[in-house]
Amino acid sequence: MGKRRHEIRFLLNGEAVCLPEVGEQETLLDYLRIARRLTGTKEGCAEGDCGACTVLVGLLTQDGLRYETVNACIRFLASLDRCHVVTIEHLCGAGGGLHPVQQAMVDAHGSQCGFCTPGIVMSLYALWMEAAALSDAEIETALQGNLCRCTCYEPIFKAARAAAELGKPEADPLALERADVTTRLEALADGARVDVAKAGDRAILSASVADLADVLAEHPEATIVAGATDVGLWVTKMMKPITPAVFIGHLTELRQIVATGSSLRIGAGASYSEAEVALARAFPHLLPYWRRIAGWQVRNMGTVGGNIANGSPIGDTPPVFIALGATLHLRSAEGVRALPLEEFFIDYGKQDLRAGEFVEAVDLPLAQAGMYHATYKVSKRRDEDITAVAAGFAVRVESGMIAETRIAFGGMAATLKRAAKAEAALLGQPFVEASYEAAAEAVAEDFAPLSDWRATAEYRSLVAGNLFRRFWAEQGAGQVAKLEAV
Amino acid sequence: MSKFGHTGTDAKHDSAIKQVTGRADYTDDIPEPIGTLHAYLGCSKVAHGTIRALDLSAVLACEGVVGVLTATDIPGINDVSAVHAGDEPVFPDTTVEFHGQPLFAVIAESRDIARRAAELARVEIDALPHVLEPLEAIAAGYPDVTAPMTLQRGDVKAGFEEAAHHIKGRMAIGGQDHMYLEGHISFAMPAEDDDVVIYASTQHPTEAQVLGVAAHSVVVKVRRMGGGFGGKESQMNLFAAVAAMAAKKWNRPVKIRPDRDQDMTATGKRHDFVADYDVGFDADGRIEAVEGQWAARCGFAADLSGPVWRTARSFMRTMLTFTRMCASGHAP
Repeated sequence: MGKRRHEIRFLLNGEAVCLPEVGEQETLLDYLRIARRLTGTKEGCAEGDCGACTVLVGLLTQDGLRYETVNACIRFLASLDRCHVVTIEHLCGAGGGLHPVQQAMVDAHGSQCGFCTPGIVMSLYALWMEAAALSDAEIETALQGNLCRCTCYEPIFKAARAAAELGKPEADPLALERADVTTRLEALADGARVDVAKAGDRAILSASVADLADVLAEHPEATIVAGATDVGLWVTKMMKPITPAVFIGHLTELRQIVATGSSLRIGAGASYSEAEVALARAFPHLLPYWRRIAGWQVRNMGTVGGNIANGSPIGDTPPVFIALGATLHLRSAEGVRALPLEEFFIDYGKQDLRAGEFVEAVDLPLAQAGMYHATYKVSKRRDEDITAVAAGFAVRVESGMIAETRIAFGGMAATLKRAAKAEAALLGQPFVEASYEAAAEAVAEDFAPLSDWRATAEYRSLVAGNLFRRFWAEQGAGQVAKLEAV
Repeated sequence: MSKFGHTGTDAKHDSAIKQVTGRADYTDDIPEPIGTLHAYLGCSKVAHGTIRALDLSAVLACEGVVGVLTATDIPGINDVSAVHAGDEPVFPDTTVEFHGQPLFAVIAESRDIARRAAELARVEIDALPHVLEPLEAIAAGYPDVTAPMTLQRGDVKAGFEEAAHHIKGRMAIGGQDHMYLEGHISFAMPAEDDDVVIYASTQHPTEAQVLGVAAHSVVVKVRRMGGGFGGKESQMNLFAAVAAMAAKKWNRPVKIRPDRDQDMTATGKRHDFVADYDVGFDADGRIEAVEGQWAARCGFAADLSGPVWRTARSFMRTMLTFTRMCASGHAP
């Protein structure tokens, strides 16, 4: 038996925190506000939507210490082991006064009621650390996960632009304490399995991926928690028990993204933000879609593997990955197996996941020369919204004829599914508009969508058909990516 | 400062530095004295019905639960109507009027205990029919919750007779939540005699009638709000009343902080409208007469539907001056 530890250890601002009793349901936000009276971080929605609770979490990665914005309301306390939590109270300028981002927010009249302001300051701070010259699009992306009801955002954008001209990131207090924090976090990474409990609630952090398989063999009923962007709501909204919870966000080996000659292998624990960097190289045309998955904080927390394992019929990544011909890798103490991603989704709430098994990685084939590829997300809001209909299209044309198709939809059925009848309508047909019209009609037979508050069944059906027309129109206008040989 | 005061100067928000550093205090940020209790609401899952049983024994049996408040525990008048219409109980006696209506409050040592305990109530309601759309409500003969009013100017009938052209139609305008970032948080501190001090995120403090004490006994403090936008004009009354009643009953500070979902479902929000319009105009497109029939979805009680409805009809003119217009309708 490997080393065991029965306490959670992390850094909070300048202080080392050691908690012997932690339940798996305790959130960082409640810990900050109630246990520590660090009330600068606010609760707006308690579901990772409004960003009023934005804090920075620093973690050691292969590339060193990296800080990212997260929603403290759905970040579980136990998952912070080996991390550095930075709240608004820790933020200050080089001389101890206002930080350039804070000063710019004051100068630009970026606050009115002020309730969203600490969260916005933290998001802008993370952006300020990353980039000197900012485009409007970058500022908008950084603020996707921060709702402000008063200012209409323009003063905040002005503040973001102005802050970029103020101060030097290398003189920033977080930058100055970087080496010290790195040393302290390295000292916390003791390679132990962490097992803590409080009043019958239990949280386990496995020591490694191999140990994760062992933990799940011991506790097949456990809830696996990666980014908690969905499981967090089971707790904060539904008050569902998730004990014992097995946290995996700290497993660096599960976050690895490796490009081999023929495929891009994304570790299940890689966040959307981490995957974005690799996807930007391999499939740059995916970026606009990718950045419409939730907001910045949720993309920093949520994982590719979680989005798949969760099996939600409106998961954003599977339609894209299925269209790319993804292979899913599963692992347990019994061994490993692989299957085409679309076969993983069996029915609503039912995935091809055996007891003790977990998603280890997803492989995306890189050699897809000649494949037209497009992805679409339809939702009520442009940014940070849950999908009504999502689609991934992949179509290969040979000598004017459609030779291969992989077209997958989300939001159209109880599971994420390929549009078999629409694909059949296209396959072997000439690459002309009439073929797409036929597919747009055929897709109605593939799905019988539900009506809910995001869209009616009629709307979803209409949209699904129209996405075939859009794909045709956009490829005609040269707006659809044609994949090249690697 | 210029000779016109702050006009033309770049005056900063007086709380800006506190806000950007997280040091601006909102209601939930006030330190809780030792002994602070937490309240949470138990709400109806039925839109309309008769309460047959409200069994809170399992709630009361939870470790950490101090007590519950129901309609029978209200010392004063069971009404939080901001316009004193007498139609908006803190908790209903017999009839549930909307999905999400608060039926009782749990008071416990922590918010988490109170929230989880509230789920254990056994509520039996005999469902009655309900309608959700204003036009359906009018068709079904539902009464107006606030007196209809007509806004009229000039001889509309003559205007339509003179007009060469007409456009008639119907438009629907959706409702929305006000989406203040800070929820309806209220914190009540008991004091001597009948006194109670309430810290609340409210735009409109009026609770004394519920407590059954003189108005001067109730002090309401609002340092700042995390947004209101009209959503806290009257809707805070219930939350503040619950905190205040509990604070007096148990003689301990009591805080209530609803989850966002409950905040949205337990309160009524900005109305949606259906408007039938008729516009008469001449060959040059000059408007001769306008008539609008407005139906607002007001919910189960008057609340501020009267002013909202009046405002909507006044704004029908936007920046134009109609010499002959008539706006009327229903507020079901």
